[in-house]
Amino acid sequence: MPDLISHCLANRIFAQGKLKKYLLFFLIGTILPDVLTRAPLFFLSNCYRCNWFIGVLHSPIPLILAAALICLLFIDKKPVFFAVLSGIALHLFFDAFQKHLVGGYYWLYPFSFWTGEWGLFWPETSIKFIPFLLFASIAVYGAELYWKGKKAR
Amino acid sequence: MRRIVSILLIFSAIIGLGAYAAWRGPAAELTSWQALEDSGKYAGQEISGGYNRVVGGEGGYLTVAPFGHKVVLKASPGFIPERGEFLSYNGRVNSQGYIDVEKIYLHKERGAKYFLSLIPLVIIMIWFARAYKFNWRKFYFEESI
Repeated sequence: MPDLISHCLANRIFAQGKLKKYLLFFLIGTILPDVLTRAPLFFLSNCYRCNWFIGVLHSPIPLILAAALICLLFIDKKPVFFAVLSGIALHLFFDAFQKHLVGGYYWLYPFSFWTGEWGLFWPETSIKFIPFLLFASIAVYGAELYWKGKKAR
Repeated sequence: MRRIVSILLIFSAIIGLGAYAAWRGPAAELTSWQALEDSGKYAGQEISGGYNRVVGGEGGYLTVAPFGHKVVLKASPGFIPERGEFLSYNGRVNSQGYIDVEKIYLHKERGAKYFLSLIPLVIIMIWFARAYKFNWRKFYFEESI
């Protein structure tokens, strides 16, 4: 996983249209894969089977189920589901650029334990991208305000 | 009622997926410590380790501790990472009970990555706590007024 600041900043750039209205849920989806998996593993770092149990939840099918579970706790289920799912999808897309020597992401789980990545950078390298992503998301936010002002005039 | 049943079903499905991985996953990979338990059998076998914490080492030998198991790596004598640092490696199993490392990667920024990840987590948690409150009677999150 890249760090969650990079994930949130990168996803914020893509939060347009209806996603902006449900930005909180989009961001919940953005952090969900790592909150579900990395946070518990931080406390269970010596348990090999726990690593398997929790690690595979960072896969598309378990995450779709997690989004469905979350949306059932809200009245407006459909937009919440799609906002959370969009955040998850972009999170997984950015994760696919990383490299791991062992493990990685089980894209086809539970049908296969196959892992595949483009292997462009190590997970922790993402912290070097934060200034650029911050600049880009501020620029997008500025552009949104500009167009909003122009429309209102 | 149907919603509660759906919640329970989905939750059970997620737990089931995790349990299936805990049951079948370990057979899908050979770990360094498993290979070293029978180093004669696996001698010469290529093996990798990822994000293992350094717990000791001297004279070109490093000890890492993946999942609490001790694994000895033979690296170049000049390579001395600090204890607690994380590294990944490619190597081959040596029948003497260690791994001959061919390539090693240090992950110095791993701690910073975890620390930085806490910031958006805390912001989103506060944002959510201010925006929604849970109605236990209806079993829904409702917008806070």
